[in-house]
Amino acid sequence: MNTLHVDIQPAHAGTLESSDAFVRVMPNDRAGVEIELESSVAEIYGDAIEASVLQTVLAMNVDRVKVMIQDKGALDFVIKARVQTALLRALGVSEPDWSTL
Amino acid sequence: MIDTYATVESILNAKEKRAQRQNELLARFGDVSLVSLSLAIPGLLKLSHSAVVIFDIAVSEIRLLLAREAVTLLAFESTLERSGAEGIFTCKAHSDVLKKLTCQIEEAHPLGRFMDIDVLNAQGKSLSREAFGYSKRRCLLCGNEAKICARSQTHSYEALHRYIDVSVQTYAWKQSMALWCKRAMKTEVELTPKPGLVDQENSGAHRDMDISTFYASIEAIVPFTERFLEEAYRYANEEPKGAFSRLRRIGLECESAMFEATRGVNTHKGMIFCLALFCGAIGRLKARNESFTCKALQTEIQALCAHLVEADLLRQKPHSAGMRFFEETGSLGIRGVAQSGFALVFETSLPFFRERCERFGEENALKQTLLLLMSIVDDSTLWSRGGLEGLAFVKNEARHLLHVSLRPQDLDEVLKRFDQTMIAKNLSPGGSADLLALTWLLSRIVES
Repeated sequence: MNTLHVDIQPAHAGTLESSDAFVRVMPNDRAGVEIELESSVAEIYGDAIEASVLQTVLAMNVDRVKVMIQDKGALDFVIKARVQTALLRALGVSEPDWSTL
Repeated sequence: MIDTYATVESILNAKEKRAQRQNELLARFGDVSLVSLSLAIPGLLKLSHSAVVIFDIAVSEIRLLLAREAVTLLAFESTLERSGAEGIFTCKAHSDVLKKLTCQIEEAHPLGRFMDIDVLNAQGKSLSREAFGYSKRRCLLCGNEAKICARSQTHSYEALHRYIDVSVQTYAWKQSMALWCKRAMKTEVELTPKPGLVDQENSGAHRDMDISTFYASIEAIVPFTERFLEEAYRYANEEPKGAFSRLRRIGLECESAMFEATRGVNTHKGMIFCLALFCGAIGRLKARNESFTCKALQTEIQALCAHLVEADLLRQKPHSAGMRFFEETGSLGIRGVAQSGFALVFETSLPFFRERCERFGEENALKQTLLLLMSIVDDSTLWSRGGLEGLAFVKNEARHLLHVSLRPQDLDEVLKRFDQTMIAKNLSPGGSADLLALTWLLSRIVES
């Protein structure tokens, strides 16, 4: 079992271009994962997007984190990749491990 | 690089790099707006042939618009990578004005749907289409909101790309064909190693040119390929002899443009002649709504060249290598090849290239096809440098290498040694190189 990461720095990944998402992560006082989603397709896909973001964060064993996503119509794997990259940057890891996606 | 797939990682990195580049430009120029062009091409095949055509059209549409509105363009940069084509225009103009104008291109141009033209204000904020009364972008295929179709993967990438290709064929067939011609010339010159010819490693038997001379020459020629197509299409009802004269006039202009670009070096004179005929045939077939089959193209070129040998070689004093070649050896050279409707290409090198492609892949097949052409072509470029003896040497040597001693895995070694021999003898098979480029071109555009 991997250890839980709680000591993260604020970081971001992605862009505000169409078909992309801009993801910011920052430390949170409360335990758990807090997700804030802004998306033009939130009405239809909001729950699905939040679920896959949560899954990505949990898979990376990060806790006490706030994830803010501005989605510009990105595909699911793009959002996941942006979340993962933001978290890796927050943890000070430079090279993302794409194989875990 | 065109028509090769990108990785997800490279596409995502490219987007971040573009955002970073936009910030750098805004920081450097201060109170300016950016027009940032990319393409709406789904999937991993971002730099497809059609995508490059659309990108070039988008760039010239935006340039035209900036000029028309008297907008000062401070900087333009563009990149073509597997991850996609993109360009950034740094403009001295209000972002609102630019957004209104670029939305018009997206809406009104028949290929505008495939263009993503973002406008960023001095603060780096991207302006939305909706703020200017335009709707959200619709799906390419069904007219639903694009983001919804994209997320739910409603349509296959194959169906989307087919739609893009058909749109380009409908609204930009000339530009598309011109890009095929450009790619054919680049494919030929970049093929390395090649005996006696300019490639990426050396200049072969040439002392007055290298690969950058060829790149300059290609850039100069491409606009004329569009003119060949346009002229042939417009005057398709004219009898072939008249059409040929029109093509030759444009061809001579094209030659001057080539010599200007290369500072007087003959890089593509033979190739221009061949392209004029192929583009001429294609334009005439297109106007009659006929498909580009081998038979149709060959027949059309035969018609265009019906009087060529007689008019050029029998009635005129020789003023080119090909003409002197005929006078001294009796060989018809490239004019004979043309008058046969390039039978040599349609009947020999094209089937050979296709068969070798299947077995060995494109690059290896191109090298084998070059040897094949060198073994059979009466190449006046070889003759003008090495006489009949040089021509016979090259034909025999190429035939021997191709049919006797060739093992595909040794091909590069064999070609490198042949290259050294030809350099020592000052021999260059320029005519075969042109026919190789045409073979590749036909392999891409002929419909069966």
